[in-house]
Amino acid sequence: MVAPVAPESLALPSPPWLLQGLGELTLAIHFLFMNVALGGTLLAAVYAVKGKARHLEAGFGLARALPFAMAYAIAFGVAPLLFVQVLYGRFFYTAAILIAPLFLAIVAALILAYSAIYFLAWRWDALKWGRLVALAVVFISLCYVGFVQANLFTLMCRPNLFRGMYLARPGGFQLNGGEATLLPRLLHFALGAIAIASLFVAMQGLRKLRLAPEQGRWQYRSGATWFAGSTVANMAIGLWWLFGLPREEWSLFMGRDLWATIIFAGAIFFAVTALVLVHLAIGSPRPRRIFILAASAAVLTVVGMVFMRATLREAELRPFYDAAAAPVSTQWGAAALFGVIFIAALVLMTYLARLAIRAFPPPEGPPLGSGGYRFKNTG
Amino acid sequence: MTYPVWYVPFGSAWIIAVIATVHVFISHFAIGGGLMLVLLEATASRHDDEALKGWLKRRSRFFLLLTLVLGALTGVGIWFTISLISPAATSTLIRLFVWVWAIEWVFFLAETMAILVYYYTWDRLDPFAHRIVGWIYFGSAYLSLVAINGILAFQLTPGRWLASGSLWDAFFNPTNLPSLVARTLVCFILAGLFTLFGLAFTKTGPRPDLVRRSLLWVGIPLASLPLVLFWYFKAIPPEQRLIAAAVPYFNHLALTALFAMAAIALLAAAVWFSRGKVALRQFAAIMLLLGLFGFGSAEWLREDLRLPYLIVGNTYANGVAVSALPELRSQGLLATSQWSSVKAVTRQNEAQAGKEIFVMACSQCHTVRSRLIPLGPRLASLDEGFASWLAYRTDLMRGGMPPFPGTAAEAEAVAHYLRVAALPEAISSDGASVFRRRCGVCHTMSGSFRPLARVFEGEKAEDAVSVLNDLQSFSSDMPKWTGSETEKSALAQWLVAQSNPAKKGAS
Ligand code: HEC
Ligand code: HEC
Ligand code: HEM
Repeated sequence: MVAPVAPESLALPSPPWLLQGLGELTLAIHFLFMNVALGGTLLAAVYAVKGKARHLEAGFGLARALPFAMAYAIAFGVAPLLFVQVLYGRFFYTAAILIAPLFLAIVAALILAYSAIYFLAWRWDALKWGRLVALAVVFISLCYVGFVQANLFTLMCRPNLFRGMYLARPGGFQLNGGEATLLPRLLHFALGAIAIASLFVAMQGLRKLRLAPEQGRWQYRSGATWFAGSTVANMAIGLWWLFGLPREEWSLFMGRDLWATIIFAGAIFFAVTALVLVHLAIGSPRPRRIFILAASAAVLTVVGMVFMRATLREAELRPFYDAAAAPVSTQWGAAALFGVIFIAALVLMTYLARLAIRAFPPPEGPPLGSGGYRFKNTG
Repeated sequence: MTYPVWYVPFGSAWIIAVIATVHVFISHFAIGGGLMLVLLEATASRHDDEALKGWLKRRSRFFLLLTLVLGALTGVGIWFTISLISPAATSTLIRLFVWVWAIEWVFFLAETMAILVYYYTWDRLDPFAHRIVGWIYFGSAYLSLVAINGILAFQLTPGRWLASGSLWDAFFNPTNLPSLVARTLVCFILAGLFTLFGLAFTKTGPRPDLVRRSLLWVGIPLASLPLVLFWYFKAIPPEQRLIAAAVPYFNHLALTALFAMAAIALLAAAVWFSRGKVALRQFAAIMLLLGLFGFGSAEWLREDLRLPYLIVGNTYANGVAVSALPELRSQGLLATSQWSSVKAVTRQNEAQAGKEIFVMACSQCHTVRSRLIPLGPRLASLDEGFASWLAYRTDLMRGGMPPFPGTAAEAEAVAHYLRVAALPEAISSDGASVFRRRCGVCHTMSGSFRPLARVFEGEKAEDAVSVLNDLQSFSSDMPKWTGSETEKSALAQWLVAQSNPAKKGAS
């Protein structure tokens, strides 16, 4: 059999585990910020429609955060893009070319969304109906981005389609429409985005507990409710996705592959933990601590999901390519230089973060532990 | 070929040209502009100048939008575009330089964070700490330029890497340093131009001291740029410079860039010496536009310098690996590619075969009949034999083209496809246009590209005719004369007249 794509001309510059590990970790961070941007836009729109003062307050909190979420979603999108091109270049480039115009339009959609996000964040008060229009622009653009990404990253794992698709449309106006798991996959990402964004809403609610306890309590509950709803629904969608895969793929996560099964079980465990903790925080004397645990569990769920996704891709591409068997000629010196620079930059960025915190001190209010800071069961 | 070619009928090169021009302009400005911001901020706080500070604050908002939204995303856009248009070369650059890209990414991350903190903490941090944030922004932005510059320079002068395969040889290549210095100067120039433009449009009117300062930012680096560019050109291997110089529009680009530099210098001098009497708004706007054109042409020129390659000595401009060429020439492009529906040229499939070959080997730079170097009308106005001859010998022609990556029969198919896909252009049989069609693709009369003037010096038209009758005795790469007798005699007379201008004037 002729391989559907020919190998790259250079060897891998580092062992695959290193490239893969860095790629998946940065991708998890990408997803977290992307989720706040995408889910946050949707929630902000919902709040804007509901329109009471407390809704608008929560919506404004999201709108102000969107520029940051977007900036970091982009910054942390670049890194996994680099590593996926190193590891899976022959599949990635080919799939991108097959859908080229729609892939390239991502850039336009991002510019549009990003501009509208700044418009919202800086003009929120002055806008009225404009808010909804701008939010709709952001939401539709970001959905477009996610939709094309999902098409690209599923198509990439279907090398057998490449030749036929190319010969049918060398101009690239097509998508991976025949993919059976595309719909559950998209829904899974969308609900995940709402879940993470609603945790963000809840976190902002917590921060308001001291100064505006009423708003803070309401906002925390609102976020927690959205989180619960979307996460429970997402479990169903996740099962739909999983069992929509061919048997030899889903069975990997059901015991056929130890590592895959551990990741899957861990992710589910953390998701349930997050669900429980988010609600335990209500009515706890130390809501902040419990919330931090809940948010950490949610983050670990995302990390687990990212590694599941990677496992699935590896399994799908196994007949065509095995990264572990690819020729490697490691540039250890350069990798070490990267490590050193990365650590130096982390120090610098910690310094920047501390400056930013100093610039925006937490609002004055009753001291920790006093009545106003707690959830009252009367809510 | 490893990758399919994304076929854009109007020419995929446009896409990269537009995105890249916007991106390089903004990204260089983002560096110089960052430095200018912190330096002016220092001035403002030294003199307790609230007006200047307020102005800088507003400017930093514009700056944030420009760098984060347009700058970063057009950067992503370039990456997307080259992945689509030159996947083979992109893959090589990504694999070879993965850690350099990763380092560049770290700087980008720090840069993103620093500019956000800088913008949002005006008046919330003590001035010194705020300036530190600005310096962190500038430092990381500049270091990301250092990383990317090495990779861009590598494409033109891979130097010792071709033999050693070592990353360090690849990065510290012959044009890395001159190119970095040139880019640094450009950063300053653009920062000066943008600041001047911003000043011109302040409500309170431009402040003369700041106008002078931004003029210095333009003038001093501009004055040193020619020398640095000379150093840069000297670092390019001469054979590479020669190929580029034969690209017909090379001179236009070079002249545009030089003209823009000179004009900016003149206008800057006019503003400087007129002491506020000239219309600063118009001047500043024109200077900024000139900067865009000049810098855009210079970048384009740099891309053309590496023709016929994308990575000199490694990958041709149409994505063909240098090492794969012999196989393609003997086995054929269609037979070896995964992306062709036709595997060998036959009489029945000639047009389809030709189209597929055109897409794979030529569509990166040519169109069939659109604005970007259309080949259809040109070849349709030539006879089939001559057209096929040209298609098979692309590397001999002006244009810095890669060698034809297939068999002679495949070249005939391309020529056939192009000839039937377009209407012939109107042609005249006067000597000059016959020369352009039949000789000018491979020769100039007096320039540096296989000049012909000296061959016909002191000859008569009859001698020229006999040269035309016997072209293949000069070089087997030259086609036999296949034009008409009228064209032949017109060309012969023109050749002789062009080669002996003095005699023409005397008699
Ligand atoms: C790297 C870009 C590039 C590639 C790839 C390329 N060309 Fe060209 N070609 C040029 C340039 C530049 C010119 C000069 C245009 C001009 O004269 O203004 C040119 C000129 C030509 C001409 C002469 C046109 C005339 O003015 O008469 C022919 C014929 C031609 N190319 C054929 C081909 C064919 C056939 C292929 C594919 C096998 C090809 N080229 C691939 C860049 C390219
Ligand atoms: C396909 C490209 C091509 C075309 C078209 C072409 N030539 Fe040439 N010509 C060459 C090459 C290659 C040489 C060899 C140059 C060398 O060896 O330096 C050459 C050499 C010559 C020489 C000898 C030059 C010398 O210095 O000895 C003459 C004369 C000449 N060509 C005239 C013409 C004329 C007249 C035409 C137009 C009718 C023409 N050529 C068209 C490629 C071409
Ligand atoms: C904020 C806008 C963005 C949204 C909504 C978004 C959304 C998504 C989604 C839904 C996926 C998963 C696709 C799937 O597996 O089905 C994804 C993956 C990915 N995104 Fe984004 N994205 C955004 C911006 C970006 C940017 C700007 C980049 C790069 C510059 C990027 C790089 C990536 C990469 C590389 C992957 C997959 C990596 C891998 O599979 O290893 N994204 N994105």
